[in-house]
Amino acid sequence: MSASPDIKKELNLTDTGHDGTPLPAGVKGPVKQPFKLYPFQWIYRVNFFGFHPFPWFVMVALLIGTLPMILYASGVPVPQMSDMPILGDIFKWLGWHNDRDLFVNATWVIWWPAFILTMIIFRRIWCGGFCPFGLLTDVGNWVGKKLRRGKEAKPISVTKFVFMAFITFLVIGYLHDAVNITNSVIMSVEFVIFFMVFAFIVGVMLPRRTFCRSFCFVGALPHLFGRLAFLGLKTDRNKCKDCKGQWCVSSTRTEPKNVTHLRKPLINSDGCPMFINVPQLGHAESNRHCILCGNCIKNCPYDAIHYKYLPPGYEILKGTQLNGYETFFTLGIIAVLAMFVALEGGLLGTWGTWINTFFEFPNTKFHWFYAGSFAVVAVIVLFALYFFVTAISAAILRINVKRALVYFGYAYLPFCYLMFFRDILVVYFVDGSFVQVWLGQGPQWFMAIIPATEIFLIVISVAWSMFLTYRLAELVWVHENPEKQVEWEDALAGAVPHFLLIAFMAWFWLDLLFPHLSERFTVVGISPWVPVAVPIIVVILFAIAYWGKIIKPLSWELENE
Amino acid sequence: MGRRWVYLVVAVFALCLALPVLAHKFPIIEYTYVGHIWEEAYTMIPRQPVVDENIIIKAWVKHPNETIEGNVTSVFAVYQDRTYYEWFGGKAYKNPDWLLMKEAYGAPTENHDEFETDIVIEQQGSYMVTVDWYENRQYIGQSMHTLDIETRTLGPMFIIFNIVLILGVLIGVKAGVLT
Repeated sequence: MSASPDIKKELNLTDTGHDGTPLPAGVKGPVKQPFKLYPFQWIYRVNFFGFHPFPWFVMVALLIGTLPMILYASGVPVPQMSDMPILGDIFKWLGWHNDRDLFVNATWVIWWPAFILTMIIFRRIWCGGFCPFGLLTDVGNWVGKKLRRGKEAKPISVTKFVFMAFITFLVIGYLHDAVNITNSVIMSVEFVIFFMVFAFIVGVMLPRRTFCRSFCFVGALPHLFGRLAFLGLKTDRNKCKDCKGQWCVSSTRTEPKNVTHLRKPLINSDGCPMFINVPQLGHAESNRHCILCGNCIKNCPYDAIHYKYLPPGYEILKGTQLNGYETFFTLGIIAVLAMFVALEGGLLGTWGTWINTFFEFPNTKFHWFYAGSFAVVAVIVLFALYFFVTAISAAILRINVKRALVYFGYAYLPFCYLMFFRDILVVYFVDGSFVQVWLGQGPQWFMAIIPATEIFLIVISVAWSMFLTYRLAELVWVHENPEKQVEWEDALAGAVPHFLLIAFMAWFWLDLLFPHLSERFTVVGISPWVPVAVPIIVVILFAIAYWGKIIKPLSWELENE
Repeated sequence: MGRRWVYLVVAVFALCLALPVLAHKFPIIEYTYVGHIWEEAYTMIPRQPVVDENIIIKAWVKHPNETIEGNVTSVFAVYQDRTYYEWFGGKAYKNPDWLLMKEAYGAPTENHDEFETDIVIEQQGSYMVTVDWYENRQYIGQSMHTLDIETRTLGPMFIIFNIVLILGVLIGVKAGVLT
């Protein structure tokens, strides 16, 4: 029985498909999307003589925009962008005197912090819509196909090799920061050029975006932190029941036959470049690999896939595809971050002096060894502590330790992300950059902005991680005992050992970064209680609003499934 | 073998990214305490300086406990650090070798107790900057800072290696070895 005209109007249902053709009786028409804050969908539907300009247009523009800087910084005699009439004046106003300054600032002061910031909202949109390395992988695909006379490369197991991006991130992240290549233009340029070459050759050898899914160490970050992101894709599984082709995954070169078109599919686009099980996306399949390229939206004739705002940590709270790789990657990043904090707080200097009593290294050029050995010890200590507290939690909750080891690691994700962001904010965005010069020129209280932000991030990350620990204790208990109801006292007791570990990590950060906390603020005329009290008040207000059901961010989707 | 060569690709990738990092000088900033002077010195450029670039070296004098009120003067000296180490019997022996490149009085800037000078260096390598501080012509201490000057061009090995890598993969795919 079809819906009445009033209901159709209310639900925005129509009697025709997107191409205006009448639909068979009983078939619901497409839901007209009211304008919301995520107007990306229409961008992906732009069809310009069969060519879909976004996101290729943006990627090509970024690649072309980057090349003059890279060439100049590599010593090739090309005209400098900073010598051009208006552009040059803007650069000089920013304190950039030539294209070498431009390259370093564009890469490390603008792109890197912006990339870290955007992934909490838009997850891997950088990979799908902007990344020049992704573009080079696509070019590599095209070249590889030509070399194979039209045949696609054989795919590798994307699940088997997915951990390799994590490993490369940890190795390169360490090398990158232990020897501080961000201050060196030529090293940064070599780094970028080699990364481009690698993206291209993997694109030649392996199909689609295997590079992005399994090898790209930059993409490993939004993969992990995207677990906390707000925006994602969700499939209407009811519309997939009668689907005969799964064009969202496989792509099609011709218009699908014998299909009731709810919208006109855009042919000649590839299927899912990340090999995601799109019909289950947002349900049994996680959004962690989704690069928001929109190919599945373009290909689906049923209009089944849509962008949705999801509660932060939605997939974690549902327990979607939780795995040990991500857990241990999270802890590995925290250990490497501890190395940076030790460097900032002076602990690494003490460590180096202690190491020197055994090895007698001749000079500070062995900084990489001090930093590396500290990172290794931090990894061992953190993993040992994590195993220990998880074993206690498992004993309290009477659950399987192996499952608990996988689940509870996600509780540290907010702490990991926000401390990563703090590090990028201070070390890349502010220290030694034009931002620091600007802050120094303002009123005296400007100097309190960064430390206050750091404290804010530490407090919020601890509260968020503790909240997630509690919810994960509930989840792991429910997954172990599917037919029983969990009591909040039990979940809280199971979460307490992890609360203590999170509190210990927060103390480590605060103690090393702010040994003279009160001085940092009183010197600029601000009570040291203000930067501590503000985030605590925010957390309390949020807790009251959440448990008082004034806001229901986490109950949107979870209760309906 | 299957597709285990993928591991090899990643290992080569990580190694190749590490090589240029290890091949270059490490831009570590050193701080030293000399007498009562708490020293800070840095170039005005937030990145590593390069050859043939006009480098402005700034330094300021600051006492940790009291204010310096007298007439402060500074003398900047830039040395090429050609120091090398010899390992013998499991121990490192230092052979210091500093070559003076420039010596000049620091010009005072708008900020109190801050001085600067500039220099153009034509050769890549490690350099040492010393600043001798005087208050009312009385020597009060020395601050010291390392300055690494890096090359401006990509190394020939880097370029050749990348070209060989690309050609190797393209030929391998064409020949059906890398499928």
